[in-house]
Amino acid sequence: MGLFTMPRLGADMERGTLLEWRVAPGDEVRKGDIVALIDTEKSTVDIEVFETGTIAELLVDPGTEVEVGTPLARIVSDTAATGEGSPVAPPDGSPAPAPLPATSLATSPSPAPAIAEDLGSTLPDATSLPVSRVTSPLVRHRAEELHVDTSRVVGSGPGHRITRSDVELAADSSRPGRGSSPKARRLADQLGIDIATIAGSGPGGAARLRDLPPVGEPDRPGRSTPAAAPDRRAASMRSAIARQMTISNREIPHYHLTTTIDLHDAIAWLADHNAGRPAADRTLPAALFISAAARAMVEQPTLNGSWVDDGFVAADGVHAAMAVSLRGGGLIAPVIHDADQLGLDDVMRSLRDLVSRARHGGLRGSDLSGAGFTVTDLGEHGADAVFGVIHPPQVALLGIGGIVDRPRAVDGMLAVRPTVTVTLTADHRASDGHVGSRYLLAFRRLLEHPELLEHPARTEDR
Amino acid sequence: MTLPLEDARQIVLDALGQVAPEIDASTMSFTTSLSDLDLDSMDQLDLLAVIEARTGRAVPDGVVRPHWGVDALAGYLANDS
Repeated sequence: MGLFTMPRLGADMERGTLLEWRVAPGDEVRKGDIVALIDTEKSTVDIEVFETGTIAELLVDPGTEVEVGTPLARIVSDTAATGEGSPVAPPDGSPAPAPLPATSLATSPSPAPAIAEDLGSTLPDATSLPVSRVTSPLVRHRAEELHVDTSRVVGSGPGHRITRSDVELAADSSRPGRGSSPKARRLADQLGIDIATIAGSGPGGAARLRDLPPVGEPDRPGRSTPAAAPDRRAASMRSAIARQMTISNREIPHYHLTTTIDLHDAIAWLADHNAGRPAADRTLPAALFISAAARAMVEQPTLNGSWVDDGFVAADGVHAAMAVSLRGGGLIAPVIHDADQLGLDDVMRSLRDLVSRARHGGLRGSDLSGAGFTVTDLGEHGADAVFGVIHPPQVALLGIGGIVDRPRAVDGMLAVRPTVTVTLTADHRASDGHVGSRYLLAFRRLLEHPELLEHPARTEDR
Repeated sequence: MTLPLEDARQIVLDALGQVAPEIDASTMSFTTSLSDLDLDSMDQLDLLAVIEARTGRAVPDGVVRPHWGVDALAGYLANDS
């Protein structure tokens, strides 16, 4: 028996709303099948299941907001690999769920608060579940400072370790309004009221539905919640980005290294590569940059991973997140997994697919999980160079500026060449400038020989 | 076969609606550049792919410039047919 839980789709995700079940009890599911649609602060995401089995029971009603790690369904596994009662977590580096949440955000009469009791009898031993824990004295100290009960925090680090970011996000969550009921928050949004200003009747002053002015139609329990309205989505996304970037700037000692690269050969090679191809099969310079960024990362693995509990944890592959700006505002960073192993056309296909789904819907949970570093390309929007902010717990971000004609010395002569300024932003706790410089050298070498990127990397090249 | 300018413009607008449905074609200027419509290179490539599929004609790489608007692209399609 396995528990299908609310996944964490990025370090900044604390909770999600189940919008819709795509399965029913008795349905057989295979690993990778989409079983639910959830709403996060940033997007609406299809969620896959990571085991093969049969849906035994749906534990949460559509419209219910729950914390990351909350069991959503029970699955009878076809394999013995998953122990009874074990959470079914994505195998991609995103954290497995914590034990049954001590506090569910769901409110009566939705079933989530009863889950712990209901499932208690099905769980052979609570200790068989992974437990989020604090191993760093600094994180423990920070939790004490912020009065955060770490037993109620789901860790985002490897092995479910609780990071400083987790603690600070939890502290942020306990602000007035954040502990209020989901229905109260929705109603407050509809009424244009800042819920943080409501002196609620709930525990700790949390606002409840009855604390808000009445509206025409009452909020019926269990009713499916539509995807967030665009303005609400933009506001919640802005809020999520603000929290994450504030933590990043406060916590991460960033360093920046920049280089300007002559793209004459790369552009000419790409023109030849695209010649005669229909638009649907053409490759953009952005794919070259992502491919080079991923393959260069193989040479400098201390830039690819996470900073957790005062230590660097290497990623389990070269999984490149790409910052995709959304036309309604905000950004989202879907991931190309094992990007170092893909040929250029495959990188372009992945890029195209992910950008399209990021902008038009259809991202899956696995599309947003497991990144070891991020590439952001703002050149088309007018920036000559990008000095970015690292997305914690990652330790590096590569900023790509615009492709600009610049005077260059070529064979002792002055020439005008297409160039790009590339900036590596890295976490000084995890690496030093020497490592960063060597990474940029590898990146430059690959762009100067773009033919090296055309085919999938051979094992002996990695 | 000649493609009238009005037909070419409609093809471009249809493709735009498919690639970037958020853009309100009824209020935009047909001379506003693709870049100013917030279409990045990925969107522009998708736009061309839709147009190629719709017209059955190839639009060679590098022909369309980011400063082109709907009318410039429609003009290219009309004049190149």
